[in-house]
Amino acid sequence: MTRTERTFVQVLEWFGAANTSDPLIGDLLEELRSGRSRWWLWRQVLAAVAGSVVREAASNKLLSLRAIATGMLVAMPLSAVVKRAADFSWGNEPLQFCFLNCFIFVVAAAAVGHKFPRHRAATVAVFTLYSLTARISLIAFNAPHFFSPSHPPRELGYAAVTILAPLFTLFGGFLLPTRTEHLEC
Amino acid sequence: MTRRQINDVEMLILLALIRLAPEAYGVPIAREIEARGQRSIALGTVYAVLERLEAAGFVNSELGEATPERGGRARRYFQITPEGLEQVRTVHSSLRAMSAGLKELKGSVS
Repeated sequence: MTRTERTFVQVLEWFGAANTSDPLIGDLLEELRSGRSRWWLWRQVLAAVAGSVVREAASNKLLSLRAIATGMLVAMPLSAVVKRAADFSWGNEPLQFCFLNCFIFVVAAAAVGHKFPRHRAATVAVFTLYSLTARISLIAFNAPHFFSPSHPPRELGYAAVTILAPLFTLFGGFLLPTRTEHLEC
Repeated sequence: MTRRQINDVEMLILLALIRLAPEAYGVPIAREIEARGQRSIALGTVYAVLERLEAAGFVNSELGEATPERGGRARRYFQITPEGLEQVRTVHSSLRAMSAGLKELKGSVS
């Protein structure tokens, strides 16, 4: 297997619903090896992942809501404390805050995943949902600052951090061990 | 109990299953819909819809043989069930009845 093949298989195994991911992976491998482009492949993978996240979240509504609430409860106070510390230490420099900010959301995602996983696909779906919700609320909260005329480069840095942070959050989710017990909710 | 109604994507996939039987699996189904239905559909969507249709009893599936070009993964072949065929007939007949004689549809794909 090439590196591309290994990567997309791993992504789909992480995100994919148990019943559909195996034949889907087989189909994508078959198509890729018969000449389809990588662009086509990754569009298929993204569509499959998005569909899987929506299905998992829709079929585990209460689980998703509880996970988002827990993630927010962990992330928001921690984020406020760290932001104050960052302002004090570095004068609100974006690079350091980028790492801290990502760390906060990885910790929050880990808290969500550790508390509420049912199976791996649901866990990742919940991470994504949580991450998007947290980020959208943060973008809304920080929106006036992005267009501030006082320090545009710094505010652009924050905007970049805000956009990229979900990737770090997802990466944090990937690091979690799988728990297989069934959670009734 | 209300009978489950199929949507347009489910209808396209059921029609593709009828056309491709008994060799209907993800890739040819997506290609058939793209070629004849002139609609692009992701493979992940095809499998998600097929899973839903299988749960509703409109299709069933069986695993083929695993092959090396698929990384040792088997194809999953789908067939329409009599209940699925009945659904297709019902929707098709409703569509034909509703669209008959509409001048607004003249010149469109029949």
